[in-house]
Amino acid sequence: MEGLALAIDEKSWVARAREGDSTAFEAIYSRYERRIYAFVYRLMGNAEDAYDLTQDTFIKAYQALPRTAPDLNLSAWLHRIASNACMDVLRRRKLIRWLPWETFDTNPGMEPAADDDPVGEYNQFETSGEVQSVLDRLTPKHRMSLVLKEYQGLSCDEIGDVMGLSRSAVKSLLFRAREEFRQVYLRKYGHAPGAESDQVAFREAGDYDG
Amino acid sequence: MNCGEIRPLISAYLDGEVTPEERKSVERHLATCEGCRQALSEYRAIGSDLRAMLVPMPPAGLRRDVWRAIEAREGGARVVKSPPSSHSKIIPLPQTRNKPSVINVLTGAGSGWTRAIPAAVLVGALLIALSYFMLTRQTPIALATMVEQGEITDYSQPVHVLLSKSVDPVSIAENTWVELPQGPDPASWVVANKKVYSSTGPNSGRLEIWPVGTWKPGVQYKVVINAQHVRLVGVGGYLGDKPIDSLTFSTALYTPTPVDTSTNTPVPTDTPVPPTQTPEPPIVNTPASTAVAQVSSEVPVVGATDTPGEPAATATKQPNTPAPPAPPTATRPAPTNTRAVPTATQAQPAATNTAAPSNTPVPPTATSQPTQVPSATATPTAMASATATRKSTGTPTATSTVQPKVTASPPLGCLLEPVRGFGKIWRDHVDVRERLGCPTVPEEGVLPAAQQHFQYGYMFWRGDTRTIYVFLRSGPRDQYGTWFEFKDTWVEGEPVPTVEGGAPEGGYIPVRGFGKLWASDPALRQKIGYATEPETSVDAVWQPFEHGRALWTSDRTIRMMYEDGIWQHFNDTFTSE
Repeated sequence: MEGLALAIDEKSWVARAREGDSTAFEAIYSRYERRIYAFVYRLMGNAEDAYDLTQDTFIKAYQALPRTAPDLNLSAWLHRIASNACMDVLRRRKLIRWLPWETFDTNPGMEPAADDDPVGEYNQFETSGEVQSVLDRLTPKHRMSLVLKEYQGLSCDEIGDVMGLSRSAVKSLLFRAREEFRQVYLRKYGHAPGAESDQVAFREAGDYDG
Repeated sequence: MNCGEIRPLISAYLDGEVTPEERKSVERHLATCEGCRQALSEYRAIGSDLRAMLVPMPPAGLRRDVWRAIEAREGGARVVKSPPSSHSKIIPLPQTRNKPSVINVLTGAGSGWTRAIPAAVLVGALLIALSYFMLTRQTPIALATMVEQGEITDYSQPVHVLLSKSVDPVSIAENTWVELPQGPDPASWVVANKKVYSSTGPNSGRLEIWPVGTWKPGVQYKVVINAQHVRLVGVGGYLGDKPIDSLTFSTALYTPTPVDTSTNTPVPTDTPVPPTQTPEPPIVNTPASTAVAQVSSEVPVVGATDTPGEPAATATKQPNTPAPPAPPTATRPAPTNTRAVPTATQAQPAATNTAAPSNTPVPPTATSQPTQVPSATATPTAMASATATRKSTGTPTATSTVQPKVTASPPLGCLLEPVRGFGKIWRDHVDVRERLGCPTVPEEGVLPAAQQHFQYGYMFWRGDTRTIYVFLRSGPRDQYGTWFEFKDTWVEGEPVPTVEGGAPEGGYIPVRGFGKLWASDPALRQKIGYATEPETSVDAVWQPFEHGRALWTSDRTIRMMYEDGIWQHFNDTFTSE
């Protein structure tokens, strides 16, 4: 029994969710919740948006799932819904840019979060950090491609799926994104990325790429 | 080609998206062009920077909100099952404890919501058995497999992961960690610290993962490998393109050797000092008790969310209840202990706090439970243990089917016994005694010492050894959590790195040694939050034990620091009369 159950893979969950099996959708949700949340978080740069847009993403996914093709690439599809949701918001904000959005981003507050959840609370306090603040200043498309590639670990093909671009367009987008990142970083910190990598992560000490 | 033309190719080269010819021309150019080499290394650094960013944890309410919204929109029509609030974690433990791990593998998450799946799987099994069978055949070769099958019974031993490809030892060790199913809460990111990968020899391809201290009994752990960051040896590239989070292993529940109920165990009511000689809550060795232990351990989330205002008897000294029980360290000679450890509770300190709710007359059943829960079982037991805890007279006969056993007193005959505040707690709390063992030296004053409280924790500095101890809190109250030890590298006069953004209103940025540690470690900052008061000097007393340490500070607080990385808070009620 257990061996059989092990074999239920993502495709079968998708198939069952498509039929309206909410248990299967829960499984999908559980598998992708954190991934999508992290993705949106890095795109938007704050927990509030991440919360709202992750929620939107899964609600949309639930509604749209029955209309998807049988060979759905679930990961790319969810990322696409999420990036569209983010882009919509970013576009709207650009139109009304005179609003001081920054005030919303840096308001950790001292009172406990509405939901009395200790783990969740920690997230409210993440100082966005050097990298995030550089990301925040990139063109949304550049930011998206970099986050998808380096943070979410998607391949160029998959990024193409998500963003609706050809593979070669993704390659040149990534190039421009990296160039923009370099420039923003340099302007902001006065040195090139990687020149001072003395940050020590709590769990995984040292940097990754040597 | 000039630099302008080659740069886009360098970016693609980094992603492995170049043709062999392009690769050659890129490499040729790089060999002669300092500027482009610099560009490549910066492109690389961008990648490392991004990958080093924390993966934030979704707030607990998100899942619930998503489901509510779906329900509302669908009018409940398509929602077959009752809404899985994030609280539906209370499920009975199946007879065989192996099953949940399968589900865990399935969903890659093992959070409560999905753990309701087994029932559905079982029901639908006959209908779709055939497709299951076909799927089995299609399972691709796994990049990584868990060597240990079945439950781990020796909690001090490492587990192993077998990799199908040859990888770089450093990157596999850096990009692997072990999580509790609930995800990376403070307790989970220290569950394993030592990771050894053998790239040659008879054990090649094998990653060995050691627990910090011991694995916790009765827990399913998840091994997460960030395969997209694990470099392959030789051919280049990465082990995979996304994290592997389907590896799990579980540890056996702690079932102590059954011994005859010792006749010399004092009957609780006869004890001369009722409040101190606390009898253990009724404990059983039957599977039923195990299920209950699991159940109550899951409750915490509920308690934390639904009864935040509950003034659970935590303020006053509260024998045993919230105490994460002793881990059955292999080395510890405490076989006389007949207490079945409520393992799940211990394993997840975050959860344990809610053991407090069991103290209140309202048993966990009050919260929304999935229908599978045999609440009948859960309730009486919860009540019984609550009773036993509250009145120290605890005649554990309250539970009908179980055969209560009173714990025999552990390490009697220590050559040295703790005194004063430490001594009182050590004697009053059998679980503390079991976890700490005997003192190894007499207590000693610490001078100088400093402390600072944070939103989610506390830091203590020992000036004599130049060590900083960080106490992270698990759960809303200052009861227990995980502790860490750091070398204090700050020297008087050294400027402390600044952190972007000031402290929020009412908060403080720590300074000096605390400040240096805090500023240099973003993950720590995230976990502990801002300081809630300035650093103060403090009188402190310290005592090492066989399996931990005890720390007293002059605000009459005692922190027991167990060797498994868990700390527990007590008020010092000792008075010298």
